[in-house]
Amino acid sequence: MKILKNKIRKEYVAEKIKGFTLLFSILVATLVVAIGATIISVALRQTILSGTSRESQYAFYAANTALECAFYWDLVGIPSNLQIPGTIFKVPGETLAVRDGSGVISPDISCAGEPLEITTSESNGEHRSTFSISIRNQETISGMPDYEYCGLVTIIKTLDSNGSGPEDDIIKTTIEAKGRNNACGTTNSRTVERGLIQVYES
Amino acid sequence: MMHTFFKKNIQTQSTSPDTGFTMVETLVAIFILLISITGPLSFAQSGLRASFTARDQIVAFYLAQDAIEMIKNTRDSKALAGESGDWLDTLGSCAPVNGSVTKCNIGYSTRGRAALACDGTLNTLCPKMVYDQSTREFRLHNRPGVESKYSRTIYLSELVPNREAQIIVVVEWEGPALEKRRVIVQENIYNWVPVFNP
Repeated sequence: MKILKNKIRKEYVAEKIKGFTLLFSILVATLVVAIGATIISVALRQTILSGTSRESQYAFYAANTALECAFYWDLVGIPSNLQIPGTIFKVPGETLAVRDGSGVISPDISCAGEPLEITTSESNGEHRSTFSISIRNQETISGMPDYEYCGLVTIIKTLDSNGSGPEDDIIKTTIEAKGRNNACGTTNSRTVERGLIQVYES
Repeated sequence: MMHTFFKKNIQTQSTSPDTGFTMVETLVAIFILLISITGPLSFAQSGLRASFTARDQIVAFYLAQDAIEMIKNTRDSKALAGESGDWLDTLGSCAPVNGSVTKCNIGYSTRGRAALACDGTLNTLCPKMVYDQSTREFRLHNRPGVESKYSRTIYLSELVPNREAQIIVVVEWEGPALEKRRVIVQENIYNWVPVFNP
């Protein structure tokens, strides 16, 4: 009876050890796979991150070009041959027609080789003009890759009148320029946007 | 007696498959361990290589920005000084002529700004810049110093005469495996001279 009891115990112990080996191997395999997956995930994130810093530079230069464009047209104004007086971006209270009768803006007002399509709106004493420009290589230099970036500009003008006369009125201008590393109207998971703001009074 | 011998012999034989299996197990274990060590090591190595590339890329972007800022500074200096003449003529060898594309490089030294035209067609980039180890500055390729790994080429053209110019700066260098890498930066600048000097 005692011999039989011992035999049963031995068999039971042996089966228990076999089950442990399987469990242990599954545990080790899971651990190795988990470590591998984590490393791959980290490597992929590093690649995306390093790409983002490069793309953000392109977005920054697109924003800078857009800002230069808006600042130039605000400083210089509408070309004299168009016979529309004043600044290209409206001041609150003014009723300048930036577009011509057919709603098309003159090709003379252009940036990066394309005429500006300015959309205007006014609310709470703020006059907003918005436009976008596509920045791409205008010259044919062979060996250059094709690229296209987008510049989005908002010009906000407010009139600060102290009541002593129009000559003492101060026009505050804020130019918000945003640059994107891909073409206008297209966004994807790798789109980077950088912005610049310029504020001045005249 | 005979019965006991056979029993022992059978027992000995029955242990030999177990020994073989342990060997295979050991080999598999070593293989798994090797993969688990070499895998992360190779990832770490590629990460290190990517870090070096990122460092080189940052330097390249600064070189490109440096060129753009120098051109913008030249334009603004002329506008603020109220000088007459074409708005880009103070750029010297970089100034675009008759609407064509100019290929050049530009640099600053204690003697002032200098623009240097680069030989060859538009497709060929300017020679590698030199690195002055005493001042820790990158200089034009005709200056004394050790040849750096970066070449900077500026393409300047007037999109609209007397109003808008396009600057494209190409900075090229060789990566860790001697592969060519480049950053291309474009910025358009505008002529503000009439505002300050109507």
